[in-house]
Amino acid sequence: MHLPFARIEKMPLSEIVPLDQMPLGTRCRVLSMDEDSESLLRLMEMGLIPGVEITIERTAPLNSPFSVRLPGCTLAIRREDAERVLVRPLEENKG
Amino acid sequence: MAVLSKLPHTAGTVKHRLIAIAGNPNAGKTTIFNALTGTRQKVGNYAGVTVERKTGKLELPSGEVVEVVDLPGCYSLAARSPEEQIAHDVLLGEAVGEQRPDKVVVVLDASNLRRNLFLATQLRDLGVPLVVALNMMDIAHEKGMEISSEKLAAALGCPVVPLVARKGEGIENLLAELEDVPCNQCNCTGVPRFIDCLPSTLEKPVQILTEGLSSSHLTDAETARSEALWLLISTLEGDDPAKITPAKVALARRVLHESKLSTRQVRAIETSARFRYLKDLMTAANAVEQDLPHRLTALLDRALLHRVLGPILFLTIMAVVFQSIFSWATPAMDGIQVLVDKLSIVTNQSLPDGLFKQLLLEGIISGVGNVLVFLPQILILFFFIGLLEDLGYMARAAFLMDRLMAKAGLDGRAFVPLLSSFACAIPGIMATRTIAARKDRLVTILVAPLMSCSARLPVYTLVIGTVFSANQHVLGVFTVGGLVLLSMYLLSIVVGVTMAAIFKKTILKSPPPPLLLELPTYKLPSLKSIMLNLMDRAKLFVARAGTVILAATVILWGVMNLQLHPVDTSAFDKARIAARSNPELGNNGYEKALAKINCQEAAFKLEHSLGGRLGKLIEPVIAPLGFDWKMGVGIVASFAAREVFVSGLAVVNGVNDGNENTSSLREHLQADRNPATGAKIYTPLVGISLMVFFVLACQCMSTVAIVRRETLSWKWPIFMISYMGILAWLGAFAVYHGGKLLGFS
Repeated sequence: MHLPFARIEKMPLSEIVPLDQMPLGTRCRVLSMDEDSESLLRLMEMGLIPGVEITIERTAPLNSPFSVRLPGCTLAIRREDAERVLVRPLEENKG
Repeated sequence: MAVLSKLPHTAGTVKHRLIAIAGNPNAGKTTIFNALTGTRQKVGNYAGVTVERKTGKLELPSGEVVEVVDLPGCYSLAARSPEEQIAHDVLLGEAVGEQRPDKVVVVLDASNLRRNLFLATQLRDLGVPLVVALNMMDIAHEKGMEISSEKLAAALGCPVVPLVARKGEGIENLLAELEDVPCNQCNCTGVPRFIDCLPSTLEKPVQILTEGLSSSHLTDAETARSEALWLLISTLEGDDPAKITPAKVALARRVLHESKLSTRQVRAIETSARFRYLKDLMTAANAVEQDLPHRLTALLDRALLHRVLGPILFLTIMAVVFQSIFSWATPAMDGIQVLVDKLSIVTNQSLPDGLFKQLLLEGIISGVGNVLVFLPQILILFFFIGLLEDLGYMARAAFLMDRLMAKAGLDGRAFVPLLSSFACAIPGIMATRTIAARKDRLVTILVAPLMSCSARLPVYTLVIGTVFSANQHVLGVFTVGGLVLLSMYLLSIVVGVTMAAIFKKTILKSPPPPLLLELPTYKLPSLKSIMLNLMDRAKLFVARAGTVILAATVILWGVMNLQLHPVDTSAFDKARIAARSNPELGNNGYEKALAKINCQEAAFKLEHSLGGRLGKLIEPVIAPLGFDWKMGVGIVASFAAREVFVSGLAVVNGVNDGNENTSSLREHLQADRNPATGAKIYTPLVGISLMVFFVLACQCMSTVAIVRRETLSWKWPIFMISYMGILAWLGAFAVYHGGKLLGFS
């Protein structure tokens, strides 16, 4: 896996979590994605790119795929792909 | 000659201007296409690929008639699938047999603007004359986005028309803009395009490749640069490389190698950079996206995607769909049968007896019936698919099924085609078009005929009734007949799933396809779109598969009715004369005796026909399965449709009443004994062996015809007949001999 860690190495490690480890319902920001994966490149074209804020909505009955809400659309992402997306939870209480 | 020259041009010679419609999946492309062209549509294929080509005619306000082509929906133009490749090739006029579009409409979902602009700006980079159709303004509004089309038009440098295509709002304005846009010249000048401000890592490779290509037909520099970038992001190697000339591929690979970049890295850089560029563009257009969920969608998803309730609702919906193809189609199918019968009767009365009349009646008219009888099931299935697709539910079904289907190596979208195949494989195979990856679609097509279709039911009913006490109770609530029937369905599922996994790991080996699934907002369906789609399906089926089915019916009629050598039927004539001159019979007795003689004659003729000989010819092959030559004739006849096995068996046994539910044929079969040994032929073991054979064998020429149509080659249908035939033989052999070893008979 080639993850461009350079930009994010200054963050505390506890704040960098693979997407599949996030509890459902949390908002987070995408930090980086494995650019050598065909699935993830396709997801990037569908709008899931580093920097975007997302909400993990739910999983399908067999715990995969996840549904993830982006600004503008909701995408499905399989567990094995979600493992290769690093995110940072966003602290916010919008009510 | 003077008269001839005054004739108007025929349709083939007039070259209309061409308008292409491009856009993301779910952006409303097809709705706009339907609104523009209405019923003046044609569906076909692009040369050499299974990508569907939809075109239609449109009359502009000026009265000019133009041709409209609906391009395949895609998120990016980078060529990694046949759909994306075709979209790109048509837009640049490089597709075989396709004219370059004079104008391009790009349909955008306003409620998801940034992602939709991704493709739009790729098109703009290629320098095609663009009109932006900003669709779904109502949903964007519900989401709290107020997009100014004027500002967006200024930022993009091309006309932008706001629409709510589902309600027909904005179509007039779109027509007016289409008239005004100049043909064949880029109208997006004066604003910076993405291709003008590439990130530094891409600038150099694009520069080098542009110089290397020095394409003469791409007039302006920007388009040439865009074409170079497109080459760098397209799949150049691997299993399914894009169809690009080897010289260009070699050049692109050298540039990539020199820049120490891979195709995927270039794609990642291009994607991120283009989205950054779009952010600025949208800020300039004052179109800031709100990250608010669509309320109705969120509410419905809480139930429809619920971990427990979701699958239950899914199964309920599927049960309704299945039930409707299985039983609601029956009245319509019966109606078609009545019409065909009426036609037969009229023909029978108005023509003199002879071989020609027989050919017309039993070959051609029943062949037409064989084609039309599939239409109710096809129309009902595609009505539901269209309805669920339009509502936005099909994506949810794929979401729920993805994990389960992936375990069998199948795409989540394969569920509906496979389920439909339990009613009939024909609509099921037609419905595999929603599966994007070619190999995954083929796997689904190959196993669909293994699902136990409704045409096998009469065979099961006859055999179970013949060899078992079908109504005997087992474990209280079950009957022997019911349990045997259930095990045949289970067998078909187990074998189908196993074969899918085997194909996926061997001849159709491919990595699991990426899940490209967007869960769109729920929308009210457009009945017009669904109906237009139904018409397309029906036309396609009748025109393409129908001709093959008709031809096969006629050939099969010949096989079952023509004798290689003239046969001597004078004995039957003598018997008839003897019956008539027998005063003891009386009127009633005479009728009965005559019917019996006729049946015997039909059986005699069939025995000596090509089909009868074939049945005897294959007897050594099917004897190890416990079958005799009469069953062989039935199997040959059942290639027309599996249920024909029943009537074929009736004719060859000289039974007048060929119905699986009445007792005459059953009783005859129960009494049938081997002439050499005197043993019963229809034992329970032979019955099960016969049913297993019917579960597994591909005895359906209509399936063969539709597979030919959907794969555009004879290779796959022939492979399908072969593998299913071998499977059926092995299965029946294992049952018969395994059963014997265990002491059953």
